[in-house]
Amino acid sequence: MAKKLETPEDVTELLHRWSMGEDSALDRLIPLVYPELKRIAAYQMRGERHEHTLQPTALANEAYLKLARQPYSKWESRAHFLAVAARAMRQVLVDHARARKRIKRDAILIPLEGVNALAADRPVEFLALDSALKELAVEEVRKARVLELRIFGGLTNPEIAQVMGFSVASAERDYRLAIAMLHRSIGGKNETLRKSKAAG
Amino acid sequence: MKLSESQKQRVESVFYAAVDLPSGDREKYLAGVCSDDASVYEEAASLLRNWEDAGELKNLAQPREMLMQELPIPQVLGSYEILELLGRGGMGEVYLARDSDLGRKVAIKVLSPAIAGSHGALERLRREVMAASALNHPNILTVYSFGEAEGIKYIVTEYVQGQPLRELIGQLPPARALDYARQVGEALAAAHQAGIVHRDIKPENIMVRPDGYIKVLDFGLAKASPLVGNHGNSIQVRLAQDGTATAPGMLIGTFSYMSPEQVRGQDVDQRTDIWSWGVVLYEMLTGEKPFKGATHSDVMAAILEREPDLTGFSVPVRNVVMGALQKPVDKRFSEIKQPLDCIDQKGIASRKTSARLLLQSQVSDKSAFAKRLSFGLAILLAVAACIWGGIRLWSSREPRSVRVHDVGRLTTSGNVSRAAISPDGSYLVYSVKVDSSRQSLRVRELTTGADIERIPAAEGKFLGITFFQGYIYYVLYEKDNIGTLYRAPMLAGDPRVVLEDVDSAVSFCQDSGRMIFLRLSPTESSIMSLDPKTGRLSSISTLRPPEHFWYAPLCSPDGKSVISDVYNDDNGPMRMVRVNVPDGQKRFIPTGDFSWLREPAWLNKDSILVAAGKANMTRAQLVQVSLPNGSQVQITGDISDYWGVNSAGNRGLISAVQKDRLSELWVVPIGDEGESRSLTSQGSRFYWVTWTRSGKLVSYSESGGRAILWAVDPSSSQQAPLIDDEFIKTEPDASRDGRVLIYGSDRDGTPHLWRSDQDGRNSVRLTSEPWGEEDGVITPDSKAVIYTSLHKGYKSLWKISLDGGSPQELNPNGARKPSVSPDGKFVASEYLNGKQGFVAAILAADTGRLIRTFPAIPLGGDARLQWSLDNKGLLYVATRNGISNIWKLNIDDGNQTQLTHFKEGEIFSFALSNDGRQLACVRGRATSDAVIARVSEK
Repeated sequence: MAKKLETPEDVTELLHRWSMGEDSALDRLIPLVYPELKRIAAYQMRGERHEHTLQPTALANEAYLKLARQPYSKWESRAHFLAVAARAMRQVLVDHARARKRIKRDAILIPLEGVNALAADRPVEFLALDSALKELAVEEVRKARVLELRIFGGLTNPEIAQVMGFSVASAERDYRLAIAMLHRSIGGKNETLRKSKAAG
Repeated sequence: MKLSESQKQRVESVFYAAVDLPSGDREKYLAGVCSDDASVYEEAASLLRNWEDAGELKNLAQPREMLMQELPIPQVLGSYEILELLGRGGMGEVYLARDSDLGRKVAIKVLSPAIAGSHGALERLRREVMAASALNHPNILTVYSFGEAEGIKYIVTEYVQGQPLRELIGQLPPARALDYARQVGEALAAAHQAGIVHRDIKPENIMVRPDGYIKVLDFGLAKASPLVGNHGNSIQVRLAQDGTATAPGMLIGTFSYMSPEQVRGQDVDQRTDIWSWGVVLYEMLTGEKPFKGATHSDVMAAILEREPDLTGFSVPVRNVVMGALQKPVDKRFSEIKQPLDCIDQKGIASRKTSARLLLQSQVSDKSAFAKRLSFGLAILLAVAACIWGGIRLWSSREPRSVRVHDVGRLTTSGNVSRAAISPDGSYLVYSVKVDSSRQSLRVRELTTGADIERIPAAEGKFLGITFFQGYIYYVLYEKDNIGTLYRAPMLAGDPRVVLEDVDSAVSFCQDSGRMIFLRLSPTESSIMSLDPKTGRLSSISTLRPPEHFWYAPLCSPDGKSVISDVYNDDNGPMRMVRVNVPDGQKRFIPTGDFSWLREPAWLNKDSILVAAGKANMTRAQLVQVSLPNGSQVQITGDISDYWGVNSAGNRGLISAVQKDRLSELWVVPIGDEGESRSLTSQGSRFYWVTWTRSGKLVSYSESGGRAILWAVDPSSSQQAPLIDDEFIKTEPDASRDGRVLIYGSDRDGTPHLWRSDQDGRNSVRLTSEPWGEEDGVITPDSKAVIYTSLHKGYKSLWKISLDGGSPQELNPNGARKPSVSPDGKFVASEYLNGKQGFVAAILAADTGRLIRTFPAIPLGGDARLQWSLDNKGLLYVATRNGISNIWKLNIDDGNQTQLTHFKEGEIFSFALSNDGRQLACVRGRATSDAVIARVSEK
């Protein structure tokens, strides 16, 4: 990463701006965590840790433990870190799924769980999920974010409430609506896909 | 079909209301509430169907349990060899380990990632824990240090052999229970006095040594925990945040000791500890908890609503327990001293014989235990009422407009002399003392921690570091005491000389780039200004003695004025002044309680300054100064000294140098009579020491905001406070006749000498000149005191009768730190001998006439010269490369002999025992490190 790491104030400031609705603020924080996540992901996907399943939360936690031990820690809390890690995680997995789609290699060395399994086993569906989430963010940025935090960061509702600055009840409500909307969006696409296949 | 905003909102609320209904009922509900709007109905129904089918997505979005990965523990952690796992607690595991440097056993508490991972939490933890440990109380577990190795953060503490009180409950005789309660209470009293609340008093946190000594563990941990500390300190918040009933690290039992205010999630103060103490006392006496229940909620309900069963308690004990377990905080004992006084006064804890008899009659079943309890209390307790009242001494601090979040120490070398943070907050530039005469300049990149030597070690000292347009500007005071201003690029490239004859750090006016600094000469001091465009140097304001400008001036952001200090030889406090640049007009900023405020930095654009300030004899702390009225608020409150504040523009970061010392009390035999040993715990701050006739030591320490004069028994290491208040004291001395103690204190605003009885009672002021006095020493006949007068900042020796009266000047020449020979005929002191400066000398005690000087004796530091018992030798401290030892100079032949053979540490002060066979030393290490604090406006 050529970009200089942000200072702790920047981190707080950027997280604040992100929670106030400036979605791109979060992207600026990714360089803080991306390399580490990528390293861990690569390590785990090479199958060096057979005893572990790869799940985003585990990945994020491992990165967290490592990053948080840095002497001048930049993170106000685990939730704040995970919020950033979720975005970075998503990016790691998108890269990974794209690579898998290209090379079409099917050997799965380790059992995967959750969104990682999706990215590894069914890269096309994973990328559909990612783009549906992007589309949802156009209309419903808050709901898309809540879902991103849950899917890619493994955050609980109280944690989401903490980083986004609203109530736990709102987090749950947004989560449920977002799931329904996303499912509809993905399902609709699959429907279109099937139809066009059938037609072709 | 596009929905309007209000339709969307309606869809969301309908969806949310219907989503938890059984799927069969949703249709009906939707039809009912959406009968007027088919679009809303269809959209909500579609979303509900999709919610129902989204099993895989829900799976993906399922929050996972945080993997609280157990950190693998290596066999060796830093210099500690791990021996065994002692236990697991809320904050992490505790191990028994051996300190391979010192060979002693220690306990190591490994911090869980939740704590160790948050810089703020860890710093808070360190502060809290060290503050409690620094109290140096025999009943508080001593914390040696915080460490980090291989990514694992841990606390090293004293290893206490013994049993947790938990294991003894149910089998304690009443007298013993009361004795334990008293010891726990004394630990709490000391902590509360220092403003520290434990918050988690329970039998698991109390260790009982085999000799009956109690140690209270984990002071500071509960407050510093990120699970509680941040959020109103309440357990409820802990629960809610975590979303479950068993928060990490919380034993179910812990609930039983929570106070009603903790249960309710309200703010807590020391009275919470008093409650928990009462619960522990109740449980020790009866074997049962006062508030019981099958579930957490039942326990909490009992705490909030039920009264404890006090049958079988005698009246005094009932009063003690009831006073501690009052549910409204304002009806509870407000201070732990109140119930302790009851226990002590009634002598209920002191009848050890009866207690022992009771212990011997082994009773197993519970009703018999209850009988024993009543019987025991009946014979042990006098019938007397103990009254608790609502006197509340604890008070909250006054509100501040600026808050310091974290003071983080960035260096640990202990040899930093100056530090400055760059305006963008990304670099810290600091100078370090490489040895006694050379300093180097280093740059630390704050984000990465990369640290480079920027200017290699050179003779001289760095006077000030500032930044302007990407360059570092520093003034180096070279050997000849001439300051030269250099400019260097931040990371690489040779420095260039900008200007010579600069006597302070430079300050840049942001508007014009004009440079402001001090130029001093024996006859005047001037604030100078250098115009960068014309290169023209001019004086803004000049002072002549007795007035001086003293510390680095600071340009205001608009460039129109300069903030500086004015020191007047004739009247004490240094004053802050605002000098108008165009006409040199001075307006004084009142310094309030502070004897000086120096080297300020702008916190925001034009109205708030942060400076190092010192209130009389106390430590220099960070002080906020608000302009234009100059109102001041101290914004740090610790026992370090700060100076050299710099700020990173408006990023809310300030840097400073923090000066600290760690010093313990040692006893050192002279000759080959056994080993030197420390009487006090690591992490203490002792300053002075003297012997009493009975062979005890009187010494002074500071911790947690308290300034305590102790009586220390050199054989048992037992410490008893003689005088305990918040006023700093200087060098104590005890009279030979065993009656009187003298010491310096600024209790009434000026440093004066005070006298008290040797038990610390009846303190009265002995000297009273307006300029103050220090360094008192009692003559061997126990009749008079010789001391240093601070007359007009000029030190000279005076003498006054111990009974008071008018003082007499002993010698008009400058002199300080007197020490009277055992035969009473001579006074050794540091004597101002013309151009030689201060030299060791002896004067006649009666006339004050100079007899001889001893230029060979090195001077400096706190320590004063001491006499050998035969009146023929002078003892002194010699420090080489930071290592001090005590030497003796034979007055007759000039021979010097080394008396101590320490290989490390400095000696700050020492005293020879009455039999001449032992030395008491205050030894340790003085440190000065760069700190960065986060500051924000409220």
